[in-house]
Amino acid sequence: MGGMRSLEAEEADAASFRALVEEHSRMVFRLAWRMTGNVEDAEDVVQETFLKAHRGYESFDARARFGTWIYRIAVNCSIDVLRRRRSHGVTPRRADEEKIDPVEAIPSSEPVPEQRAFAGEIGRSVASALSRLSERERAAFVLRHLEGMPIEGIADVLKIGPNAVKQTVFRAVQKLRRELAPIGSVS
Amino acid sequence: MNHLDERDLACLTPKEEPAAPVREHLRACAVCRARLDEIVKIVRIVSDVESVPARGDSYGGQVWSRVSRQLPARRPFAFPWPTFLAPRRLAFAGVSLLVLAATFLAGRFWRAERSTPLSPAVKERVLVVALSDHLEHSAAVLIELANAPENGTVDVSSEQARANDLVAANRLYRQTASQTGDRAVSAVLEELERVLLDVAHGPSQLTPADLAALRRRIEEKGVLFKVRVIGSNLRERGELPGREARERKRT
Repeated sequence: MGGMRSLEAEEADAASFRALVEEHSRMVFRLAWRMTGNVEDAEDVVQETFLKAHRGYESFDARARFGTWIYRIAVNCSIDVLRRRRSHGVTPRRADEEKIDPVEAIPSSEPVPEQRAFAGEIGRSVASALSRLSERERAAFVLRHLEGMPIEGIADVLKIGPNAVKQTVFRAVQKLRRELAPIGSVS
Repeated sequence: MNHLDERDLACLTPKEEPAAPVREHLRACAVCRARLDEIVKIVRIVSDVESVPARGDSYGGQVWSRVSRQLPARRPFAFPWPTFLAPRRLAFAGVSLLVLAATFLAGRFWRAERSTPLSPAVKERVLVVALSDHLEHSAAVLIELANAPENGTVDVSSEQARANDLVAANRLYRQTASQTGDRAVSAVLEELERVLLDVAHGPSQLTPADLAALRRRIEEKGVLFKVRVIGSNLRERGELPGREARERKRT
């Protein structure tokens, strides 16, 4: 029966796993931040994703791409965080409560106070609108419009059909449109 | 004029070129163009504000140092256990260890008395008993998921951990079945492995919709049924040594 593993094989596994962690960490953090909207949760998701990946590493099919596999785990970990938050009644922190300043997204290098206030308002509105999406809607929207993932890829990650993905993205866009309509008409 | 499906419009992104008919339609239809402009504007507002905090080149190393502290300690020496007997798989190992101990003793007996290797028949029986146990454990996980209550979110983290433990063992058995040309067993183990992987890598909190989707997946291909049938066939094969011995005693 196969499956005998030497220490050398284990060490080789550990080294290759380390290389994969180092290579994919930033991608996982970016996705986790977009899904959860705050740094603390995103860092937790990064850690949990790689720990989960390590537990399932031996079962990883070498023919598949590690990036896609880790992506799927990261999305599921993020969904878990969002669900826990919802079930514990925790209101997600708003963008302006994080250390990230939404004003950084505004192209002007020296924003006047009115611009800063307006940008802060937009940041709060967007964070609030995103928090009103269901976990799946947020995942589908983030993957499609922020990560630029193809519909089939999203279907694979979320384990739903391509039509269900389109329907979910559509619902997310509709909700965001309703929530952000006042800003849309101003900008 | 028929307008574009709003679901398709909502999924259009500037990063991807739309199909030619969609492009043509957008060129000709002001209504769809206006709808698309509105969607693009909303997406732009979100993506402009969602500026991801920067993480430098050393971030991967920092993550590794955090993650590696939480990984299980490596074994002090390299005793070549099969992977499904790794220390963290103790639950499954309990049953398998007995089987391996029996193999070991049988092997010693054979070597001492006859100086010949284990007969293929004994090897097969050992494998049959171990595989039969594995299928029983897998079926138990699938049954628990199939019977989980449907009201509200269900925590399946314990089933998930067990599925994760079973995946590696399943893989070994599948490879063995495939090498020995047992296509029926290999095919069932392949389907079982996909379901176990889905459970192991899926969310640990399942909504009623997630749970229904997972049940459909289990039921669709009759995985549970096939696992039970193969398990029952194997158990019959596994009983043979005992029967043979009883018959020999009688004669």
